[in-house]
Order: sequence, then structure tokens, then C-alpha cells
Amino acid sequence: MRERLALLLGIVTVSGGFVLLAQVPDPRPAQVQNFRPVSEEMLRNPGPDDWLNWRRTDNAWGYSTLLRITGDNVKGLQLAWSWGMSDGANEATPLVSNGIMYLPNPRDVIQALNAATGDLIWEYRPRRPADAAVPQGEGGGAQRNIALFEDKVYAATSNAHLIALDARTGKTAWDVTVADNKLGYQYTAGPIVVKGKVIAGITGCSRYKDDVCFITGHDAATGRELWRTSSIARPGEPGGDTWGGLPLQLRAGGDMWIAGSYDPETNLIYWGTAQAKPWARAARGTDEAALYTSSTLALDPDTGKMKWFYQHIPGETQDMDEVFERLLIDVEGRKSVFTMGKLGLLWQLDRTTGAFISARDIGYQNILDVDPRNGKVTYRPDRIPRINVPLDMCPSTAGFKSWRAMSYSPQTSSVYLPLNLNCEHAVFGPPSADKSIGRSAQSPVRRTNLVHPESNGYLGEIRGMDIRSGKATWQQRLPSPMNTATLATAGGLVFGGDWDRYFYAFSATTGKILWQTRLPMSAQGFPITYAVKGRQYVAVPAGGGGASWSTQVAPDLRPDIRRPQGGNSLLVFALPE
Amino acid sequence: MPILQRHVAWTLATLALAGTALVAQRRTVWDGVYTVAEATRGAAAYRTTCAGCHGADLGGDGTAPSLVGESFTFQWSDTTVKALLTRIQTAMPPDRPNSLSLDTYRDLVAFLLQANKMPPGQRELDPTPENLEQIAITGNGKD
Repeated sequence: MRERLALLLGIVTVSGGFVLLAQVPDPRPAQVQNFRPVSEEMLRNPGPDDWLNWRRTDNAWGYSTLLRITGDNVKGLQLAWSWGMSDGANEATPLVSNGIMYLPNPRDVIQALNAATGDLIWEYRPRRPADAAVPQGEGGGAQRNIALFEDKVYAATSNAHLIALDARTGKTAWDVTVADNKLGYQYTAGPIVVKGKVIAGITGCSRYKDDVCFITGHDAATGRELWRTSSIARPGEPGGDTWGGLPLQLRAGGDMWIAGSYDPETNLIYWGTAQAKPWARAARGTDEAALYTSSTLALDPDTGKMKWFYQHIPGETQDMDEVFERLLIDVEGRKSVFTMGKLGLLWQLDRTTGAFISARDIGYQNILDVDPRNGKVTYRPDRIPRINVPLDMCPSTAGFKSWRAMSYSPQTSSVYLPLNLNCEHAVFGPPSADKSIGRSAQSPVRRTNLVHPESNGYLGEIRGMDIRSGKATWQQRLPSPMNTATLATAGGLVFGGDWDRYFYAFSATTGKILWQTRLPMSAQGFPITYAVKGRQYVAVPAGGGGASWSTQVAPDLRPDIRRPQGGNSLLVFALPE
Repeated sequence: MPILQRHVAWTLATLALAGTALVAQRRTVWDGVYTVAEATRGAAAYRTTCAGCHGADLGGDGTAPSLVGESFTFQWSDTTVKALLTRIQTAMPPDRPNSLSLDTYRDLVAFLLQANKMPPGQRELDPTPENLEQIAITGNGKD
């Protein structure tokens, strides 16, 4: 208040001792003058106009209750504003709070924008010394999400720092080094905030080191680390005997490269872990389960203590990640957590106990079978890679599903899956003879991308899937891969975009395309919707990078579809005022 | 020398000459096919454009493969310098493929050959990509 008075009142001293009071306009944008901190209660129950968490709500539904844009009027959507973004891998999720959009760009750049007009309020651009080690920015420094709490913006950086910025100014409030970037540690997923703790999972465990990947909880006020939980079982610890006796240094992988979910009722956070490395068992040197890779972890957000874990694919051997978003949905009274990995299996677990409930296969993979009674995985004959032996597998290591998150609509009891139909002719190579610290834990793979035999030449599909039956409620095939997360709305719509630069609104009940437009570059990232002063907006990032799904599969298999060399941006659509 | 024997001898001599010509035309990466200057320029381009994913030591990271040692040999043996150049040009950097000049892509190829201990020579890489089809990537200098 005192600060505001000082800004509003300029004191002009006139010779002779007179003092005049003159009103000087506050130079700060109205959004900053009217800044509204984000409380714990708001994070847990966000208002309909805001998009405060990565997938809007703690349960990761990617669902908005806004219903001003409906199937009846969606045809009228027009570009409201757009914004060019930094170079790099664009997999962004904008956040919106009280009319301010906070936009994570690649390579750790963050902007605050007027969410109604696109006017810049502030920009954070990290300063790195010229002689700094090159940031190990996998795929070009992807920054998938950031987080809000009180008056700060929280981000996890490509050089393994956690930072807090003043949400009014973009000035750094604190900056802590969580791990040594020189060892390969980095973040591509941002944090979530639960009860005053900033919680983030780290990635970059592709090189041998005397440590492992992990998730940490930090004091939101100071950045002080409060707890750290490993995603890899160390020798001598529970689960430590599942690595075939490999020493700690050879237990690579278990990267936590996607943000997790939170259930205030169970007081647990749910986080996925990636596969072990090297990818193939034969290169890794063990056929054993390799805990806690390819798992769902349920952790106490106050202490990091593991309440339960469920390993989806013990001893995973083809880079078939199960690391992606965890949707918390109650199904017929049963508190469940759903996730889908690269294989296109929709896993349902009891989120209180971690017990297996079901695994529904979308029907395209040819690698393994899951026992519907207990979730036990059995690899099909000859599908476990052997060194230098060619292997045809569906999907490719790009996956049918990847970081592009599914959404869930309680109106239809369906999840909406953004899919990429593809296979791979693969030859897995030998591991490096040199396994010393700092060396790559990634054995090479010679890869030829193939069209999926059941795709009729289409690379993309969006599918509505009933979570009770696992049956497809509709499918919409597209020439190029779906390339964004999906966004479901109470207006009966599902938004998503493809590699070929189309951005669509689908009917949530039939899959019919109700509206489409063309973007300057591939639709890529996490579309959101929000409202300012009663007007509903839909925002979608566009751009390049995005791993092999975007950079190899589509260019190799559909060379006739051309897109620009690059160019990242955000496009925001709305109905005419 | 009987006519038949003479004919056979002539044929063999012709084949040997043709073979020599073929060997001379089809070189390998162990024959000094790039210059130190090219590789030096390539190293600078690598640091600014590639190292963020593949690592300052070319050792790879995440989905970006190692570009040296056994990994490079496994990926690229029995292919050609043209195949390597084409792959880098059409796919890299992932967020902006084909955005560098052809000269820079060629310098990057020279740097990769140098990083894999393939010796430099006096002549620069052939500026015509098609001619690079004639330079084989092999696992060692004797293949």
C-alpha cells in the first residue's frame, strides 16, 4: 500500500518552502496494479477463468469448465493476438492468472503478457556467463511448464536450477542449484506447488554418474531443499536388488521428465519415471526389473516418502516410456490414477494403494501382452532386442503417445488421446566399452521409421476413449501426427493440433471437426483456454523441436508435407467481441 | 603365347587397371578427405548449434545420440559422407532443420570426421554433395 501511494503521489518541492502534491500516473500495467496473489486454495480449486496449474487442475484433466465457446459458435473463432517465442524445442504450457499470461519459452525464457491483448508486461531472460558449460538442453531446452504460488512464478531450468521470479516484475527472487549440469542433469518439466512446497522431477540421467535421477521438494519462500527422493533403487536399499548386481554408477535412466499430479484427499503426489538406460536389456547388462524405472510413484508431498509404487513394465527394453501425465479420476466410486505410455496402454491403478485395476490397449502395439487379471507383462517372442539383430516393432521409439498429454472430460467420461501411428525397423547396437563416469549410457540404435500397417498411410489420430470400458468412442485420422496435448472443455469441445499446422476443434461426443485453422508452424505444446472480462480465449503454441515424433517421423514418412524451417509462436483465438 | 592365353592376360590386365581406377575414385574417410581449417570452423559451429543436445564432448544425451566412438561407427559404417551430410542437413538442428548454410553443414561433417580420428588432408570436402557419395565411411583405415 505504501509502495502504491509513493507511485501515485509525486512530491514537488518549490523554492520558498511550498510543497505541492501532484498526481502522477502509475506506469505499471493495470494487470500488475491489480495483481492478485495465487493462494493454496486457488491452486487446489482454480476459478473457471484461470489456468493456474500445468493441466489446469491437480488431477491433470486438462479440462476447463468454461462454456462460452461451444459446438454451436466455435466456427466463429478468430485470431485475437499472437506472440513470437524464443528458438528451441517449443513444448510450452501458458498459465493464466487474473488476466496475466505467464509463458514459458524454450531455453529458460519466461514472459508475462496481457492475456487479453498480448502486450508484454515483463520478460525474464537468463544471463549465463560466456564461459559457462553448454546447457545440456535436451531437444533444445524444452520448458514444458512453470508454476504459480502467491506472488511468484517458479521454473525449473535447462541447467538444473530451480528459480523463483517476482510475478509482478520478473525479477529473480531466488535461484538454487539443484544438481550439477556438467553431469548431464537438467530439467525439461517444471514444478508443481503443493502446500508451500515447490516439487520438481529431474532428467538428464543418460550418462553414467555416481548418482541417480530424483525428485525434490523445496520451500517456496526460499528455495531451500526439504527432501529428495531417488527414482532409482540404490544398492542395499529396498528394491536395490533388482538391477542384477550392477553398481550404482551403471544404474542410469529413471528420468522424471513430466510433471506430476496431486490429490489433496490422499495427500499424495503421483509422478511417472522413465525407462532404464541403456534402453535394451542386452546393452544394459541386466534382464531384471530395474526399480523404480517405468513406474508410477506415489509420494508424500511433505516428506518425499514413497507411499507406494507400481512398475508398469519391469525390465523395459525398447525405450517405451511410461513417464507421462497421471490423471486422477474416480471411476464408479474407485479412486483411480490413469496413465498412458508410448505403447498406447491405458493403465488404471487404485490411487490409494497402487493396486492394478486394468490396462486397456488401443490396439496398435506388437511388443508385449498384459494379463488383464493382474497387470503382469509378457514380451512377445523375439520382441526383446538382441545386439545387432534387426527388429521390427510398433511403435517406434517415438511412441504412439508421448509428452503430448491426453485430456479428460467428466461430461463424456472419456479421455482424448493425441496419437502418432508409426513403427520402426531397429538394430540395437552394442553398449560402449567405456562405462566410466561421464560416458554415455545410451547404446546406439539404427532406426528406419515405418508407416503403421493399420494406418492406411495416416500418421495422426485423435481418439476419444471411454475410461470405463476402454472402448473408442470415436477416432479421427489425420495425415500428419497429432502434435499437441488435447484440451477438453465444458463447451463439449476438444482442441488439438497437428504437425501439418492445423489446429482443430472437435466435437467431444462425435469427433467431428467443427472448426480448423492453419498456424505458421506445427501446432506443438499444450493448448489452454481462459477468460478475461467475460471473453473466452483459446491459446495454442506452435513451433519446432519436440523429439523424434516431430523431427523424424513426419519428415521421413510424409516428405510431401512441408513446413517452415522453424519459428516458435503462441496463437490466441476468441469469438468476435 | 597362344591366342587364348594372350586374350586372358589382356582381359586380366584391363580388369586390374579398371579396378585401380575404381579404387582411386572411391575413397574412404581415412584418405584425408577434409582439411583442418574445415574441421576448426565445424567445431565452432558445433559448439553454438549442436552441443546443447549432443554435449560439448559429443557424447550424446537423452534422445541425442553420441557422435563419437562406437556409437558413430555403429550408426554410420557402410554409409557415405553424403548420407551423413544429408542427415544432418535435413534433420538438424531439430527445431530448425536445414537452416544453416551448406558450407556450415559441410564444416560440421569435417568436424565429426576429425572427432572420430579420421585424418585431415590437403583438399577440402568436395563442394558438390553428390560427389560425397564416393567417400565411404568405414570402421577403420583398412576397410
